[in-house]
Amino acid sequence: MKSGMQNINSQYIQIDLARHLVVMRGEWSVFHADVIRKVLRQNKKILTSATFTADLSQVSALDTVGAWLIRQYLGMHTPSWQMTEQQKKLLDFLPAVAPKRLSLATPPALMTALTRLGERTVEGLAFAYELVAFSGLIFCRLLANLRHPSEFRPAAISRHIYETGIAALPIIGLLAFLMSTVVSYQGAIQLQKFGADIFTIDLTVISMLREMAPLVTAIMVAGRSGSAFAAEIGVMRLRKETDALESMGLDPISLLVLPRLLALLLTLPLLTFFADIVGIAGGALMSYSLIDIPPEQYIARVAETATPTMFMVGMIKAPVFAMIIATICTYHGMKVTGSAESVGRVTTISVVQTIFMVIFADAIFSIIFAELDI
Amino acid sequence: MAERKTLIDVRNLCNRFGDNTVHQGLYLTLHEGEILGIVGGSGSGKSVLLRSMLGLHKPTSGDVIVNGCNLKDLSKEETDELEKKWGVLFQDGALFSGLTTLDNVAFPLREYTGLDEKAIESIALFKLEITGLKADVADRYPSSLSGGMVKRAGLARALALDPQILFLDEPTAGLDPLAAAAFDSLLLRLRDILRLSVVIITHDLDTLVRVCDRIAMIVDKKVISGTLAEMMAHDHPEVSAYFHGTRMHAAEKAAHHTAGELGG
Repeated sequence: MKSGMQNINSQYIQIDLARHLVVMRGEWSVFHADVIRKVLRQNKKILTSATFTADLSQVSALDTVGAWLIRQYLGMHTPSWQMTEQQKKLLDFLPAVAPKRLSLATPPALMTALTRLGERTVEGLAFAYELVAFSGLIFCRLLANLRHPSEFRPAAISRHIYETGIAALPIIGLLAFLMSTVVSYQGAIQLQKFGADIFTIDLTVISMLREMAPLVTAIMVAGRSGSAFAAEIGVMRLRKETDALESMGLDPISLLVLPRLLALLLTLPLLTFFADIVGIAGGALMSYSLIDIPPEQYIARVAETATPTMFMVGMIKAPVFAMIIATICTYHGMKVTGSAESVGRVTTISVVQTIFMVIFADAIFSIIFAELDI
Repeated sequence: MAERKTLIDVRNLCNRFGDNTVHQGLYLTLHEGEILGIVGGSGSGKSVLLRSMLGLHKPTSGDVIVNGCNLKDLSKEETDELEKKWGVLFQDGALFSGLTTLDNVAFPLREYTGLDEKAIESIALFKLEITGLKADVADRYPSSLSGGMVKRAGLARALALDPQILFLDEPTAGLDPLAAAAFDSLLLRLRDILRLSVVIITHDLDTLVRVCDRIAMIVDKKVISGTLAEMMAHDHPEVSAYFHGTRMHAAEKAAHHTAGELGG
């Protein structure tokens, strides 16, 4: 026996060096495993220094984790055991060789970053390609349906008109009113410095008609209805409803995508128009309270400022935004596969992409209109 | 057998949802070391009974006594303590989709024990191994596992803290017959070695015949229970219809056949 080793007498384990005996006692269960493991690790040297007899007769409870500890720390060096049949069964039940996790070799960080950049690029290109293909598919279906007008689904379209349009009126109205308030306040404070208060009206009306109303409406609809499109179609994909449709010889694009697209093409311009009106009305209220301009004068000024071109510049954007929202969101809905969590992910992606694309398209419009001097 | 300790005692359980009474004066016991099968038609309240036993659903009235403790008298801490003593395999596995298979099994160990990461990983791996999963599924996410693998991983997670009582909600539903039979054998083996007491909700007649020591059938908002032989001899028309259907006879015959083969 080596010097410096002494008998151990702890709550769970007792090592008698003279008699080559290891006595385990108490509750060898998962909830005490951390303490037991610590004792075993501390005495690993002793346990491997000689051959011991293991006595499990004082163990009051033994579970798989307790048995695993015994096997790990005593299994190799213990020629004889004192234990019950049940304890032996449990020890024998555990895998003889500890299962090893497959360790994946991790490439250097730079390589990972480069690989990811490459993957993202390819994914982005593939996405652009598929989106264009999807738009083309929708367009083909639309043309095909135009030849057989009975293919259009008035019931589905009207349901989506209600959900994307009528149900959105209160929130769009409130938003337009708040936007006109913000613009009026900013304008009134700055322009008063130059004694040009009256131009607050111009500022509010022009910015509402040209930019704010179409943009804010589209962003709100993207968040409200675009996410619903992606989620509804996504869930139908998950539940194999689209497969059921196809197996009946019906086309999911015509049935699910087109009604949503057509409904949004109709409602988004109308909602934009509604936002225009509420915005101008909000402007009237703010002008009256901020710069003391009575409604009659306000109306006269608006009539002077708001030309039909300006109104059309705002309105022409709405159908384009509608197309962006409907196409991207239904595309992502149709791409759902596998598990339920992909619906949540796809919904988020489609809203983020749609809002980005709407603002991007708005920027393009600004450049075009500036070049055309409109 | 009659002298065995009672682990779960459901007394005079009533469950009502609006006007719909699901259970009315229901009594049920689970003895130590037995496998109890709960059967009943669709909508007869099997899942509600299971949820009541787990404390996930608060019964309209009645008592659920687990290990001598009445669920409704327990404090939050006592409930937590009790919950460590049982493991549940939900119908679709209920694996956490954001965690890998290994992390799913490791999750209760990380939450409830003071073991270090290395030990937890090894324990989770051998738990997967004893439920018949190889280490190569450890780093896969539940969405990429097959139905049988999900059930096994769910079982491994249910067994993570070495519970006394195991609840299984339709463990073999959606499995092919071979996988279902393998699951049955695994269950019998685990019960034998780990000294588990098991409650199984099942529609699988083979499981019922092969695995269950006692069967509880929900009939008329109450439970009629007994061994398979007792249930087959029971004269309640619904019980009799259930246990004398053609599929039941086939399952029984198959079980006898296998038993004979193994014996010979």
